[in-house]
Amino acid sequence: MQDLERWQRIETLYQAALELSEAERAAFLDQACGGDKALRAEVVSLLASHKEAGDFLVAPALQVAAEAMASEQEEVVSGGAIGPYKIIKLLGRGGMGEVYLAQDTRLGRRVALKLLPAYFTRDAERLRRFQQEARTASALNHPNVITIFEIGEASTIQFIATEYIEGETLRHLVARQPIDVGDAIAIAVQIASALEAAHDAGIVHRDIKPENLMLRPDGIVKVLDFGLAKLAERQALRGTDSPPALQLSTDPGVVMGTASYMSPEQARGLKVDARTDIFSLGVVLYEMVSGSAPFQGATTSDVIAAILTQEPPPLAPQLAGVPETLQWIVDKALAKERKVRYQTVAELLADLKKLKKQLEFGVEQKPYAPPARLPAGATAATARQTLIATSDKQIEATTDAPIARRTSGAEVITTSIKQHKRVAALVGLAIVAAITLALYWMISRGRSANQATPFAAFKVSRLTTTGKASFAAISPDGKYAVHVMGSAGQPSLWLRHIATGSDKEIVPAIRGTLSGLAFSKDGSYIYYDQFVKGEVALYRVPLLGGIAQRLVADIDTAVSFSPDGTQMAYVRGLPQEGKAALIIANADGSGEQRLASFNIVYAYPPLSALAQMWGPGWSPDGATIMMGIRDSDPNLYNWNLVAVSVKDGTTRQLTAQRWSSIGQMAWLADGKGLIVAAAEHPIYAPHQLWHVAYPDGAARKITNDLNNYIGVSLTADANSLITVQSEQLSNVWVATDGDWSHTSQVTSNNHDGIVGIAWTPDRRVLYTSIATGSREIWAVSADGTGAKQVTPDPGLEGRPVVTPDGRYIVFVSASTGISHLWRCDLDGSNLRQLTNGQSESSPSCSLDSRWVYYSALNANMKRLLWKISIDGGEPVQLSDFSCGGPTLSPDGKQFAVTFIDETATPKRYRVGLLPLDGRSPTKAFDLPTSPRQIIRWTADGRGLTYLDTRAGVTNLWAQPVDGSPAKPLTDFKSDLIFYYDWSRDGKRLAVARGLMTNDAVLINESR
Amino acid sequence: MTTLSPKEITQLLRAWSKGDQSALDQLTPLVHAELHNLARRYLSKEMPGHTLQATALVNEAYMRLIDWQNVEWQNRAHFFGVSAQLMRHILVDYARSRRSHKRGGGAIEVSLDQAAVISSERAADFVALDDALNSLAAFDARKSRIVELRFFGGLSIEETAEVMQISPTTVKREWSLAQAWLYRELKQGEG
Repeated sequence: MQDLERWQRIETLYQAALELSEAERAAFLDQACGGDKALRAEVVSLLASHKEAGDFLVAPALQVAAEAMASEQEEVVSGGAIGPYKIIKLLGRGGMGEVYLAQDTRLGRRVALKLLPAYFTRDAERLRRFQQEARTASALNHPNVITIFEIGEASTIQFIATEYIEGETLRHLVARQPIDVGDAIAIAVQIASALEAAHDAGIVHRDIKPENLMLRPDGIVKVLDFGLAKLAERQALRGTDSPPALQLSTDPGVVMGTASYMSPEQARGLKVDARTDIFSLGVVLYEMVSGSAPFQGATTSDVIAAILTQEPPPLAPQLAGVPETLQWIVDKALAKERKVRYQTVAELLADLKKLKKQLEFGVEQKPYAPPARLPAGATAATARQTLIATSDKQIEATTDAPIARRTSGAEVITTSIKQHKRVAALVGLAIVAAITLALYWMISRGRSANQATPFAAFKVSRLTTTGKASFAAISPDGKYAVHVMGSAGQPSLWLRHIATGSDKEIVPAIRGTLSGLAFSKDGSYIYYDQFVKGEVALYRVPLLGGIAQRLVADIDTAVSFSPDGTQMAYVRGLPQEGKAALIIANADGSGEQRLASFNIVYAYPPLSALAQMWGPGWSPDGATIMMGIRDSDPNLYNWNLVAVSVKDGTTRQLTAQRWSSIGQMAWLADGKGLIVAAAEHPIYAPHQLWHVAYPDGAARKITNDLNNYIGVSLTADANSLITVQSEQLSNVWVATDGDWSHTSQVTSNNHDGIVGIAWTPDRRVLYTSIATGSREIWAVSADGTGAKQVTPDPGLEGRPVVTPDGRYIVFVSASTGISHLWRCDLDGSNLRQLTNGQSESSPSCSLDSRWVYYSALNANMKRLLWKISIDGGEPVQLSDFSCGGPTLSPDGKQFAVTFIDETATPKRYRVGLLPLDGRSPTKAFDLPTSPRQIIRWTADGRGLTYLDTRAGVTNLWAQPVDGSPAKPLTDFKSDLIFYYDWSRDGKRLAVARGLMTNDAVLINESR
Repeated sequence: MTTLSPKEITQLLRAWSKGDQSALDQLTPLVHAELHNLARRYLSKEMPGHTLQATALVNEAYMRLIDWQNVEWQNRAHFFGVSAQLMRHILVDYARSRRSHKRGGGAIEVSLDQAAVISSERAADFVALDDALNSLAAFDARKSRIVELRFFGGLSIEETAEVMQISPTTVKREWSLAQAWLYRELKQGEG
């Protein structure tokens, strides 16, 4: 401790001495210090230190510390080894440390060695958590997650040794070249797949960015650095209410790189969860496709501000070739609100896979000619399909239908695969050119040429290409279209200005269903039904968006307006009364009055109301409202159009035509007919567009293809209509022995098995296919080889079953115009019609192979159970109440049937167990009873298996017949199941799985 | 990762100077990040020697941590005093933790002999320096403060003079002695 006074003296002498030259100092100090030798020595010592010190402490502390840190690390690395790892070369350097290529001297393998910056590893607890998380991620053993060999420490340096990936980071790839949309999606699928596995294990990556994604030359993507970001995050605040903050990195490059991929919640410093990775992946996907990051700014703060407040520019205008679906997916991943974003990466992955598959499949249309055996009056069509590119790249592809190929099965499949690839490429290009996909087809019909036939010739243009447009409507002036976009319970409402193609979201995504679209007569409002939490209500929203107004609670159809637009009509089911009421109200929802009531079992909407678009049609003269009603006997497939008088509510059946279902309808401007979406055949029931003349009721198909048409909306002049075209893509997959979710694909014609699948005793799979242009039954080995057509074309065949003795295939064929049961040998020979009644369906064979059970209409149009000898002859009636789809139990003692349970409250369709005598069901279960439902027995006879579709994904479930709770058998994360069958021993499963793409199409009459 | 605005940093500094330890928890990583970033630049040889660029980068780093323009405090001296104190606190603490981590020597510790050889990269043992500064402050607080402002706070002679409201000449003179004294202290400590 210095004496202050003495210190002052020292200082005075020191400063004075410094003023002098070194030579002068000694004399000066001798004199100044007098005899105080200690004082002199002190000053001399300090002067010496001064000389020696040079720029000691001159460089600021930050710099000194940084230099020291740098040399420390360099020292370690220049030593050439870290622990057992011999450094080979520097691979890269990032915000979270340096990465070296190194050789593991113990195992002789090459590794990537990442050295963690010291300041990340100071907190032992955080370090431990990081290690744990990194190990857990590595232990996932997922092909897209990098494998960690060791997390260790050597010479105070924390390191991670991982598998060395020869390849480059996505950053390099993005910087070098634009990434093809298909490739970008393939990369994103792999990243999402890795994230799904990690999230399932409870690990959030937190720092998904191109620098952390490695691409191998073989196309495999590896996600790096799981858990590392958490290590870098600043410690949690200790109970302070000051704004939370994250760590600052000051290298502008690094900050930009990192900040650009942050989720809004990360930017805000909030707690993050799996959804943060979804956002970051969205950013990566956006950047891959567009070449630049969605959120940009000159400084970190600007980037963060953009993340928090700005919507990224749409992908499509930036770059041609971006499918609308991709825009939709990116938008959903980049939603600022976590609740609006994809909730799980599994959902995102499912959408990406779907899109990937769609691009591979091609978005082709497949019109086909109806078989020659169709009765007169139905149409014989020649279809010609044209893809027209409207931009600079002109692509034209034509397909003439029917596709008359009779080559061998294997060849057909190969050709077909090639074709699909070609079509996919073509469609890719077509999308690149941002085409309007237009489809022309002329349908001639046997009517006198001088009579104007509505929509006898027309042009179809696609309005959407997302595959997710569930419903659509057109404005009375034809200028606007509105459509519901989105699936999985989060739809939103979009307005399209048709001439410019611009889109505007007018009702943001809700958790529920949006349906029942209609424009008001003056075009200023859009009416829609919103189904949320079990309640449906009618809303209207101004044309260009704004506040939605709730008008009517409890509504079950779209509305149809009176000619002056002041009133509207709709249907409401009243289960308590057992009625469905046709209701008229003012356009603002006031003044409701019941015009007519029907037995609820007979009136629509039927069970799957929300999957279709239903609605009555108010005639242009105002006097009649048309709606679809079942005939008084409740059959499964027995619908008619009924004209209800607005004056007194009396009803009149319109047509002789029966349909298996009737959807929405719209009147033509002159009141001389309607356009109706309705399905004809029970065995495969897509809605087609029909023209029904009024008042004579003559019905004629406008469309005649394999698509389903959802809803009809006409312009005021009735020259244009909008509908949603729904296409099914399906292939056959098989799985064995308990591992039902692990399926392998056995067919690839994309329309396989939709209307039937059955195992043969020799382990082949029978399936329906339209490879010839009409629909026949084919067979393929379980390993996917030897695909072969079984029944001759042209046919309209489905629901094959094989007799237990393995001799015959029994199936339904509508090749004569009405469904009948047919039989043939396993190789397709000895074809023979078994029944000749009305609309036979759902065959099931007795254990002794002597009888075929089935359902069919009786003379009173009632669907009953019957049996007939395998050799034909007289059918025997089994039940005297309406039921359908018998499936015989493995012990041959009872059926599973679909029936209307009159004893249940409310009366409803259920699946029941029916003894062979057919008297009355002994048990009933509330299983999903959509028209697509397929009921089968488990091999032990103790359960019924059925399809359950939730959020666009179908899984197989089993309902034990003892009434205990149903359990899922499969764990599919994507795709629909259209059909399935178990092998007799229950050890093999065949499923028809695929997609349904729904797109709004505009149909213009061409004269 | 995100950043704090200068205003937020200023608020945290104020909170810290009033004894709020949680403010330190928020400020520490900022300093660490600057430190690491600079180290990385050295490693990547982006800053060969002491070029103007290197100086500019270090100054920039300081500017981000101690913002001249946005000081709303009536007492700039107080503000810069607090800033420099904070830097000292964090860097010394960091060096201390590294030393204990390594058991035997601090990470930021290049011997003075070595420093003499590589004069341009002369460094100091921050922990020993901290002790020495405390000793100095006991009998000459002003010199200790000047060192704190200049070395830890990164201020120039002129800035230090402004903050301390003394002449630059005085700062220069006092600095000279403080530097010599500290150098000797540290060298002795080593021997």
